Amino acid sequence: MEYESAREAAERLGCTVRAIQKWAKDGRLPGAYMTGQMWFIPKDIKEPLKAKSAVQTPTIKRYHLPLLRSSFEPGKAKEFIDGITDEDDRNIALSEYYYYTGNAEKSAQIAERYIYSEDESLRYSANVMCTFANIFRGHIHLATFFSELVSKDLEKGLQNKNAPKELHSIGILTAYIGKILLNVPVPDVPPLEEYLHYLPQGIRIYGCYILAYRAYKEENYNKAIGICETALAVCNSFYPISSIYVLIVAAASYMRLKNKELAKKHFTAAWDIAKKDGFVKLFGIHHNLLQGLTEQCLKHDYPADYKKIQRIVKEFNDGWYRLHKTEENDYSHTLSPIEVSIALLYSRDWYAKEISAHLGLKENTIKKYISNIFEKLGISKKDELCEYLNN
Amino acid sequence: MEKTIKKAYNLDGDFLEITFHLDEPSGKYLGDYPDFSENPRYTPNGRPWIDVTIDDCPYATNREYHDCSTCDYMKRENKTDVIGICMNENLKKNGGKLK
Repeated sequence: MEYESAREAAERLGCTVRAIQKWAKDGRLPGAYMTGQMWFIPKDIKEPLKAKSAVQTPTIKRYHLPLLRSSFEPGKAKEFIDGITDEDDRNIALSEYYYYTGNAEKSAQIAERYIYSEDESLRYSANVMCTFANIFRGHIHLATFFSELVSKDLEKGLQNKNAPKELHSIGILTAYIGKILLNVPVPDVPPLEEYLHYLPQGIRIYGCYILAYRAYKEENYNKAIGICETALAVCNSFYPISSIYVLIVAAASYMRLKNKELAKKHFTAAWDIAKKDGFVKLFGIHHNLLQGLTEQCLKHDYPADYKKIQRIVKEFNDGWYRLHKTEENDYSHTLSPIEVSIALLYSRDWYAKEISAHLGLKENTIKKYISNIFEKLGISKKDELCEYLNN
Repeated sequence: MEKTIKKAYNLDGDFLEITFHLDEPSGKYLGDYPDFSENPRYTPNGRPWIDVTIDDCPYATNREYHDCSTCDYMKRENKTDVIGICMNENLKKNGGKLK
């Protein structure tokens, strides 16, 4: 269905904008919905319904993940959250803040209050936060429970054809989070690309991160980079958290293309934003993706943050291991974070000398790590390592 | 479990003893191998000791992975060993063609 603004509808129907707004509010324009302060009117409406035939069409009162979707100055996340007037939005934003700063416990405690909220957006936000936070807490049964709640909500939402496209877009984004990021089964949903433009800009950029991540997983690194660079270029405001996500995938993709300079540039750009609010979590969960960039850029200059990231990596890997119940070939559970980075690089045609230059370690130290990796994984040939890591 | 164990490798008439330390997080024993690139070691028949981390040479049978571990000339005592000797005649000490 195609939509137009209230002004365009007024011009087409030969009435005032105020009349259009009143009819829409009274439910006399079927399919019309409001985003923020703007009405979107179906282009195929020829006249308003009679007053007694009017139906109430659902409107979106809020979008989910208020911190992710917002533009705020890096370093002032807490101040921004304190300034959110809606109490529920403020709480969800606080849950997000605790998640991004590595406090999964507090994040889950706040979000859990909203898992059965009447408000769909609050419910989606809460369940997404609870799913991720509980992976880190090691409460996999809870993580699975919350992700199932999201799936049920999503199926129900998609079946409601009268629901605004924006609500569908939130649901579809949530499904993609499950499918692409968590590798969990989700209902079949339409392509996210077709619904991105219904999302507010901060979340749209996050949606681009998911599409770029998918391209990365498909080994289409140039496509991933293209999506990331375009997403950053077309913003008309600055969305710190979404930008960090996108920069991280760009850095990872450049590493796969062995463009170490651009990889480091994008990593550093992400870190420069994140460090101001202590958003270290994103570097922990993407550690393996970043193939040693965390060690190269943070280990010596930010030792306290690096240590925190190592703890996050371990928690995430343990949680992932339990979530997916992988028993064989789970290298991230067997190897230390730096061993994972070295193993991934070594399996991707990096020589020991190149890895040593990348990580700032001696070559014989790297060789020692490599032989340890082989022994820990119980392999003796490099082709076995490649197969192991690819599985 | 013992914190350290020793194992003697016996290849081509050479005995090489390696100490293994227990890595508690993984529960595996990890060997303290010598660095054969820095300090080459040869068997009595002149064959060089190599390990899985050494880059391949022009005589390698599998150039895809750029290392000795996938080369057919690498002879190990056991299939899972990360060290062994190179059986290529060109790499024998005082008889090989590779400088």
